[in-house]
Amino acid sequence: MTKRYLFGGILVLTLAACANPLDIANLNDPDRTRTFTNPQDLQVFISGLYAVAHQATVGGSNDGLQTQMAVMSMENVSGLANFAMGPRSALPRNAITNQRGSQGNAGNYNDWLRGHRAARQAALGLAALTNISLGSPAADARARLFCRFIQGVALGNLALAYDSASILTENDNPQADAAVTVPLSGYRAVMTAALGYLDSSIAMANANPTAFPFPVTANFWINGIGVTQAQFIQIARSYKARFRASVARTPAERRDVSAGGIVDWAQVIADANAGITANFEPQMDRLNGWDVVWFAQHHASAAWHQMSQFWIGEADTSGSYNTYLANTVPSTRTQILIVTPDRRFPAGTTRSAQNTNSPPSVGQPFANTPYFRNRPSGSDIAGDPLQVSMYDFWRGRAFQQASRVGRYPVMTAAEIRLLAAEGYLRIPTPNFTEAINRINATRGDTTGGNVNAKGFLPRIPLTVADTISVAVPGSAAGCVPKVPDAAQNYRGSRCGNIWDALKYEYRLETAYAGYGMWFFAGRGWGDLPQYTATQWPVPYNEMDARREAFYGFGGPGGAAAAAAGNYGLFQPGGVY
Amino acid sequence: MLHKCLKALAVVLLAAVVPVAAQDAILRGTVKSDRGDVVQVAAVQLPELNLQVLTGANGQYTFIIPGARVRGQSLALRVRSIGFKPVTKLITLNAGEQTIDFTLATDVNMLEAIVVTGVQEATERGKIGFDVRRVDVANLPMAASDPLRTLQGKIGANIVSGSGRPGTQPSVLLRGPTMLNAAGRSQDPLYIVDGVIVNGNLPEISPNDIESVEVVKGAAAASLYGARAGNGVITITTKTGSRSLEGVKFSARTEAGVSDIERDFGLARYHGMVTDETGSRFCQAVTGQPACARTFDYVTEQNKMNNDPGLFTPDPPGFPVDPGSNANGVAPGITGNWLRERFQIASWPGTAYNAVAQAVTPHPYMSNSVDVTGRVGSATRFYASATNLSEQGAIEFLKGFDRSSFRANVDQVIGTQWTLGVTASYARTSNDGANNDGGNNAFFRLTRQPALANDLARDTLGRLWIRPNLQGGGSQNENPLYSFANALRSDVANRFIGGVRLQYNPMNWLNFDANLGYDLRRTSFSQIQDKGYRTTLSDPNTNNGFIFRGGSGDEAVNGSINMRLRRDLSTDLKATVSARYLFEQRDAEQNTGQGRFLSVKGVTTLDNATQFLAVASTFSRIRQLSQFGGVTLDYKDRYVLDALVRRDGSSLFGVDNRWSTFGRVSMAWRASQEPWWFLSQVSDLKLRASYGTAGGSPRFSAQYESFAIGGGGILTLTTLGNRSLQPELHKELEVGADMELFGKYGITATYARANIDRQILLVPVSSSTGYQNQWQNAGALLNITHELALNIPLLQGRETQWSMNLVYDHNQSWIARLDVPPYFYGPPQQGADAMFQAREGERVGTFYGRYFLRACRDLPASFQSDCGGANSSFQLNDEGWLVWVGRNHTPGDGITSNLWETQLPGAQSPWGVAVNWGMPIILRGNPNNQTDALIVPLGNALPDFRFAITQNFRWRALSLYALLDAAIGQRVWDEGFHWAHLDFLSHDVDQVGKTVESAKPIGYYYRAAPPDNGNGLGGFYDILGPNNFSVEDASYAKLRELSLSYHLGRVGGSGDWDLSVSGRNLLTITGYRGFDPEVGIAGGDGASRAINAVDAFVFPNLRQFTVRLSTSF
Repeated sequence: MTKRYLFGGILVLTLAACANPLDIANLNDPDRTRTFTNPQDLQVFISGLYAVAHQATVGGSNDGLQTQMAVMSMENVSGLANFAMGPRSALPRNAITNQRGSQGNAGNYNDWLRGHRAARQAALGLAALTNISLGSPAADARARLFCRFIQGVALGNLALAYDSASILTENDNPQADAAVTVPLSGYRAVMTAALGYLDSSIAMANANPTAFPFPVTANFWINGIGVTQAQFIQIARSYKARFRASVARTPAERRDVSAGGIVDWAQVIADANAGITANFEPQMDRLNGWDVVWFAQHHASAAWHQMSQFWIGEADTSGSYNTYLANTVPSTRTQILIVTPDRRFPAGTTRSAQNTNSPPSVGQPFANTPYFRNRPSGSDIAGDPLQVSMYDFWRGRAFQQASRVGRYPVMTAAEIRLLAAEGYLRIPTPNFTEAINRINATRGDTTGGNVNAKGFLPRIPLTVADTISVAVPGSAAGCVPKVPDAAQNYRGSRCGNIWDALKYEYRLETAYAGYGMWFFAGRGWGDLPQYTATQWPVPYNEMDARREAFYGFGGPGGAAAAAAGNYGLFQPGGVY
Repeated sequence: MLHKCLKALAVVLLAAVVPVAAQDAILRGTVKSDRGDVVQVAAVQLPELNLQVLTGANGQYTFIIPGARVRGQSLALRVRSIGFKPVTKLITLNAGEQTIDFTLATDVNMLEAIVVTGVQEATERGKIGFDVRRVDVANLPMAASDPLRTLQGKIGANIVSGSGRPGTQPSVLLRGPTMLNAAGRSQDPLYIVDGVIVNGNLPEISPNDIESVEVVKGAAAASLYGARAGNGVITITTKTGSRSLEGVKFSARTEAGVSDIERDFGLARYHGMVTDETGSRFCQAVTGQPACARTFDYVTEQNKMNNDPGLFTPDPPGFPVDPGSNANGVAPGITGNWLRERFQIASWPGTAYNAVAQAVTPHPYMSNSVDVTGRVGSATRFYASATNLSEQGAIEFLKGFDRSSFRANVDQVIGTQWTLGVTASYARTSNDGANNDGGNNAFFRLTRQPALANDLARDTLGRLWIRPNLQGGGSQNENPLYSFANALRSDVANRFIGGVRLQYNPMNWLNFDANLGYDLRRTSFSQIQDKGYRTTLSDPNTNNGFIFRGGSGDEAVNGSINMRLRRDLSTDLKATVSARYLFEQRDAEQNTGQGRFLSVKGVTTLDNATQFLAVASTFSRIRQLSQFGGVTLDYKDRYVLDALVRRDGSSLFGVDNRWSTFGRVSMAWRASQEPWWFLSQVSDLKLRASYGTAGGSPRFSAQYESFAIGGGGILTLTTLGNRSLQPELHKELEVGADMELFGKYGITATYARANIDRQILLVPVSSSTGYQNQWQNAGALLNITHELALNIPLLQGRETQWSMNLVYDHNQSWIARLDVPPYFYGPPQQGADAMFQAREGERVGTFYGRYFLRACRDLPASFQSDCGGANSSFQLNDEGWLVWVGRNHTPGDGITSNLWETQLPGAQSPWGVAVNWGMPIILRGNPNNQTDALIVPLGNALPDFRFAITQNFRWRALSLYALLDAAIGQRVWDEGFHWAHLDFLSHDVDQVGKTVESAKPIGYYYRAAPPDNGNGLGGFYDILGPNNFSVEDASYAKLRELSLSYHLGRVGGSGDWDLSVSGRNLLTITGYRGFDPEVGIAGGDGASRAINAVDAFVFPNLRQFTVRLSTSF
């Protein structure tokens, strides 16, 4: 008996010593088993989540929706085929389909995948936190509220862009079954979930003051910002304001809920007023997961980008914008010199003067004026006659020259402030004073120590209480902005009203700073060219994975196609 | 029992070594060929006595058999030599001397040749149930720079030199694609060099060392090699002293020549820009001013831009009509639509250059080798060599490929039962230019150089001009030669391959052998752009310098222990039983570092970089264990049945599927050896059939769940793990026949049908998982192959010999089953990444893209009645494209009737999309949106068939050798040509020489009409992806090798000299418009240049002319 036990013991030891030689560890890539069992690794996983979510919007890839949205909303002008800019900028607008092989699929899938990835990782992080502590209640609370925040941000961005998405929770993906497929929900349900997650994160932040400030650990949390409790709540509420207002697909949806819309503008006002008061600008570092790649290269060749003179022409006081609009032969339209008192443009009445007064070649701080450069004529290129201009967005130049390392706003204070302004105009009882003050904040001069002043345009009087018939100050020739006039069949301009002034400020202040700024606002304002798709279908990769049929949006006769836009954009008989 | 065995073994051993005094038997003779030449180094064997001698320089042999073994017995005396049929004579072995001469007949079909690949032991081809191609050194009269190029046209396989950059390895498809997704793997066969399973990278092996190459092409033959052999096996055997005469023989060879590039890309020679009335000054775009209110001199501006002392050039003056980017026909001060008005017919003022001619500069080719072969006694044989190759290519400023290699192979017989073989080789290689091979690098920019661009010009500081092209387009217009000269890339590899083989033959019916192989490859690579690197636009990242350095190590060990038992089960039935155990381990690691913003100019260490420092590394280990057993039954030397089973365990398979089983059954029937054989014309016929399975292993990471560690340490979910992942399973049936007609004409025909199941695909998973994809077994390919080889000795006189060989193969590969929805895929090159479609029933390699109409039937039905007639609205133009011309016009009326700027409105046009006069029309009609262009098949990247014809002619001392290698029916997406249309820089845009009827405005070559792109007019540039204008027939026939040799014999009383002049890739017969129809890019799912048939800015293949002098003594 003893011998039998001895032999058995030796056999067991021998077998134990002989590990299966075919079991080779993958030492190159982490996995859940390793990452979620070590508190420090789990913290790395969670604290990198904002970078992951950021990569679903303006960070990391040229081939994302941002590139398409910019040309669809005429924030950027390029007919190059790259990144589907050509197809998306075509007039009349094409449909966007999610069929395999459709142009722009890569960009469609880029944001979809990364958005869900961020939301899923946040959910996984929350699930992992039920099994493991990061070392202190404060650390655990910080991680949990951060995960909730990311769930809200990621799902909110998905709800802005796509007709539907998956609402991911920490309960629908137990670690034993990573491959679970969560059903798709419509964008309004997804946005409701996103806002709920943001509310949850705010509540957790309020309940856990010791969770703040966020560590300033390079590349993690909000890179470069030791976010305080107050700042976190401001940021989260700003996202809420952006999401709640921007989710609307049409002017009807963007109306206040009291007027049959889907936007509770009172809530937007509340969130915006509690939101950021300075630009939210994390530290970017393109090699370390924090990048703003597309915006930043907008100083490159005019073939890739230029500002649309249809929009920026609104600043002109020389009459050239009128001449441009009056030209009924689109193919003969040419670039116009925009002479304007608005300091966000280079000063001067000649091109050479404006060349001289443009930002320096190396760029300048983002906040500085002018925002745009009048490029040397030798760098002009032939292009779309409707939109080509001699102006380039130049605020990102210094950032790009610094190899895309440095601060860059992903959300501007002006955006949030102007969302509140819009809310004040849309609530059942408009508050013109509050709205005008917010519009004047960037429009006007520095009277009263207004540090946000950029435009140095005449302030809109606080006495204005009319959104339609009262024009902004200035003569017929000297007012800014001017907008194409329906009464002239858009062949000439009129002085803009308070709405036009709000939109003008919004466009100038949010250009190339934030995810889909002109596009999401433009669809709700009715400022997209006719037939522009107002949202993206779920990408074909996902439809394939789910074995569901393809579909599309936009284009003549298509679903979710923008109606004829304001300013004659661009129905037959209009400016097209 | 063990005791008895040992005792028996001792008796046998003693019997072998103890001398017994008795009268010896002596056998002598001479071995000659059927042409009367003596045959040196023929093996003369007495198999029953396990004895063998080799014939000497005079073809004579001598056996001295100790008297103790002489018993008057009947024995078979057998003679065999490579290239001849063996002859066996029955003799009676008596004491005393006998003279027995032999005459060997040429083995036309090589059926008697001994092969070792795919078989359980060295076997005559005539007894193998599948096809083993064998190429001997005699069939390799011209050594190319690497072994695979040397094999082109000789083995009936698709070997594609997709890049002509010296040192690159061609891609090989032995029988078509076997993997739908080979990313991180390879479609290439398994390479074995002297028994060592090597890690590819064959350019580090000197072709001069090759003795023979054997090829088995599919699972029916390659089952022996198990889970890695689905793509077939190429076995390279290097030279040994086995055929040496007693003593030492030295050989030396030197070959010198020059490389260049046969064909031109075809850049435009004219321009369509706006000039003043003299044509010498270009109009400048000035807002608000007429088109030519201001003009400038191009060359003056070139000088001004490029002589700027800064690191980037200032902005040049703008052109009102600027071929370069985003053109829509509207230009300041230009009335009308210039894209439809202007014709590219204007000569450039001043000196015209050809950028291709400036980039292509013939560089020397030099190869030197010495070797020594010998035999010491009957026990020791050796071969040693040293070679050096310098292939400098043909691109200005690049140095090309250098290889220094050394080899020593030794075989040592120990006693009568042991044989030890040792092989060792070392090579050091270096090459450059990898940074400019493909993508948006120098060869891309080369297609953006107008004739006025002098790419060799230097500024006053001695710097190459960075911007000789002043048109818009930014960095894509940079001088390509600047990159060659200043973006310095170096890749250095050190390679050791060694093997030890030990054989033990204790008895005639039993032997053992053990092999141990080792392959170590260490590389280092660097890319330096020094501080001060110029650009066309300010770019601190680039201007301040860049350093990238790294190294990699690949180490492979494989070993096996084999046992074979041979028994005669009856007089006519012989059996061989084999068993083998194998172990294999492969390690791969890579480490890289990089940084920008150099502190000091001229310092190339990484610590000189101050910003954007980044490091990366990977390590993988793969382990495989295998057991193998097999049996071969040989009945009457006519019926041979072979069966084997192999069980492989691999660390690459999912943890729940660590082991897989492969196997084979094959049969060979020597029908012509039947007593009843009645077809005397068919002097030899072997019918064969084999069914076997083999595997395709996953990439290292496939089974694992993985998070990506992004920059800064950010973790992202990427790939779901798969515990159930299995190897791909290749199941192949191969049948064929080997025939010899009239005793001289050899024919080999093979049919193979392979089903490659369990395709390992990267399957997208729902993004709601957070992961992107998972590797799954999810489909099957079907490959059908027909192969034919002819060997035709036309003349076989003593002084004049002329023979011809032909190899032909036809392969098609379909996706037989796809367990995931269809998807598009392609190589990682912009525009090409979705050019193939994976869907059930589709042929692998089918291009998909947009289609310009070529026939009336392409129009919607309601338009077809107004098409094709002399007065119809839609007619074919002189180039065969269907265009709208309007009623009562012809496609030649554009200029004479001033029609080019007219348009058919959308409401009256096919699919509701307006078409412009005379311009190509895109096929539309997407069911979901009629205006959407359709994506349709455009032909296949793989050839319909291939053939190669070899001619060998010898008259006395003069020899002529030629190899014509052809691939027919394949298509290539000529992306370089396609994209050059953006700048109107492809030669077809030039209209000089055309008539007013046939000339086309530049818009004809530009973009498709709306709604696909807002600025469209025509036209062939279209979108960035393929279309039926740029996916073109790339059939070709190449004069691959040509050599004229003269055997000088002894010179000055010493040596045995040969003098040759040779050429490689001398002439390409093709209608293809790019540099070379033999082209492709690496990467992507196809992972093979033979599949990724995209002509996208790679080095063109080299043409070489050399003179070779060789001698031996």
